Amino acid sequence: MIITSSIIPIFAIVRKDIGVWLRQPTAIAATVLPAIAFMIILYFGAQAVGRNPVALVVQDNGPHAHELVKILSQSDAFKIVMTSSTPERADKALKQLKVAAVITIPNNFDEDYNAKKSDPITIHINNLNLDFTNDLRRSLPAAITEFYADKTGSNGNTSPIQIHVKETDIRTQDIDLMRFELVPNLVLLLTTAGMVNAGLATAREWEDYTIKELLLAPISRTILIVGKLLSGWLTTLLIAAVVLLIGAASGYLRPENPIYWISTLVIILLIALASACLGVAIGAAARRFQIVTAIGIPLSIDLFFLSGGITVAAFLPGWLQTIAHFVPTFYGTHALQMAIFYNSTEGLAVDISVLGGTALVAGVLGVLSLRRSMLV
Amino acid sequence: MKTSFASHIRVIWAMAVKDIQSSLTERAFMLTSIIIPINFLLLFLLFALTGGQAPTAVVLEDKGPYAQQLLSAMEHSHSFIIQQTTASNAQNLMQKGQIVAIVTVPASFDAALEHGKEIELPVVVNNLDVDFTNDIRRAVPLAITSFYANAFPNQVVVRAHEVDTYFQDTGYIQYIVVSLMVVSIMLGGLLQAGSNAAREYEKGTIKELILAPANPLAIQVGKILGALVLSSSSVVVMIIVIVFLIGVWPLHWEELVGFVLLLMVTFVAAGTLIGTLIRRRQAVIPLSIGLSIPIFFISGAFGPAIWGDPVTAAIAQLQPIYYGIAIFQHAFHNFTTTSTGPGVDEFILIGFAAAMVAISAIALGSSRGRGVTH
Repeated sequence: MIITSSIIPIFAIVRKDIGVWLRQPTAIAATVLPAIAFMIILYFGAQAVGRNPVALVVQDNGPHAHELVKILSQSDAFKIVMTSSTPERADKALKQLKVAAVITIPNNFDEDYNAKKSDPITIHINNLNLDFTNDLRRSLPAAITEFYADKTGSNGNTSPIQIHVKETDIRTQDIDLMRFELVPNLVLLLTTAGMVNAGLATAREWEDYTIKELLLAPISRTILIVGKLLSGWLTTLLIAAVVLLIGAASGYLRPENPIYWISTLVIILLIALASACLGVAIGAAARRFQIVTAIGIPLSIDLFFLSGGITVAAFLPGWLQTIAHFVPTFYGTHALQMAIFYNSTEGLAVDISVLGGTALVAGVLGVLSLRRSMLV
Repeated sequence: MKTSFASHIRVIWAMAVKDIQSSLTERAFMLTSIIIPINFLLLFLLFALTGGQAPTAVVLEDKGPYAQQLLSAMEHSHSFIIQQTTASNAQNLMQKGQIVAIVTVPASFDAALEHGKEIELPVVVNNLDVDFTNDIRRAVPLAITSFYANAFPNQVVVRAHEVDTYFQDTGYIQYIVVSLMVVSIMLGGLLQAGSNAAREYEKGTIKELILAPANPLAIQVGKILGALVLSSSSVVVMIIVIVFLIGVWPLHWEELVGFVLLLMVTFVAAGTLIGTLIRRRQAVIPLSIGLSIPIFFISGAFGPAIWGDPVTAAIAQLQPIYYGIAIFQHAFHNFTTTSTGPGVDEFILIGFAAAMVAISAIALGSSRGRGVTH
């Protein structure tokens, strides 16, 4: 009897909050916009990786020069947008920013190569910034490497390079950049959804003055708090369910071994719970829509970045990796990537412990913040 | 005519003062509208720190001169952050996720090279994602070829000879921080002006504004002026962070001051337009962030946009951030990053600013025609 009388008001609060949320396109937009924005970034980032336009000046018609031109033309490090035998056009293109560099194969290239004399290829780089410049600095030696690798078999000669790389991969498969970054984006979506939606649902009670009705209703404050936390959690999970269904159907977010669905779902439940509880805490403390979105969205983006959202955490400087280890979403992202891409439980116990602890702390914060706001 | 001009000035002044006073009563939002653009700046700086170089452990089982030369070739390949260590420590670092590759130079390395024998160079890769992994796959053979070019110049004679356009390299952080300043000005302007405009609809005061015997252009110019003053605090903080904390000193201060004002007017006017159209402060923040981030990425934040995908570059040239980044790169580093050049870019931006002010006034004027619902 007591249980039923508790469940009915909790259910009513949950139903009311979800119903209101579904009628709020701005709240839904606030939830999905940051994640969509980062997906667009990833798409453009993946398109633009290291393909700078380059002009090629070929002053030698020998077979080795031709071979090098072929390698340069097929390079995935840059795209040759102009080929000429004289430097004037290429230099003009460099000045007009139509190309990022000019590569010149000199007229004595074959002669020097055959005579085993020093045979430099000039690369004139518009060194605006170190990132682009280093891409170009790497790309010509990479082509020269390929040029020498081609020596074996193509003309019967043996390559002078006797060192061969023996690669061992520690993961079962390579994951492309777009797919790899889907996981931190899912975590971003969960944290934004939890913080913003639960925060807005809580703040709304004060903005619309409905908190008075809730407080005057013949229900305990515990029921009220449980109802608000549960509605925030379920709203977040609703969004997670939609994304997971699409991800599973498309294969982008589907663990290859079904057993890893368990860890995937546990991690998602914990991230959603922690975010929703934090959202309730912010909403109850702020009591204003505007402040909830002003805090919730940037905070979610901060967590996204610090958990290696837009890059791979292992490539960050050491001090930043240390900071990342204090960010709960770092563990969520790690656990999901291990489960979905690599069929691995590597570090799962630590990941679940950290996320469970975070959910607990966030829950306590949510309860305290709501209780305090109800008293004021 | 004189009376009319004076009355416009009075309307502009009154609107600006009213908006500043109203905003100052919402201190929490004022503070967050300053913090959000700064936060944005710092976050993307963290992203820039990645720099595309792979943290790699090198285990030298042979300490001979050729092994040392290979290590040096790797260090100068612009591809690795090298940590020379033992095999067990390298494994430990790999398990902790602090490195992404282990290159082991075998004990017989120097002897095998001297005798012209083939050598296998073991490379263990934490192949987390294909983009970063391929960088390593390309970089190791590249370092090997560079090593040969130095160690055996008679065998590997083809080498790259580099000529640079600028006498010194500009670091990635020094470059990107300028682009970040532009997007932060955009974000600050949209947030502040958008919220000020939407507040009129949320609080119902728009009715009074529309029914007032005042020109919509004067009202919007007043709102823009108010938002300019309010968002200037975040811009000042940003300039202090970039110039004095990060140490990126502008080569042309006079250009910087002028361009900051020009961009602020453009984006404050855009924010006023957004606020007038969507009429909800709750939506202004996600929309501002959601717009700023992708536009920033396609507008040549990391290098000239015209070097990227042609379709993306064409889209980028239709909006002001593209020109804003170009003129700021000129003010800070004397760089030209668009084919039009900084002079033309400045005129295009003035056009964008005038258009934004005019369109937002038209949007307010059309509210009068449609009536106000909120």
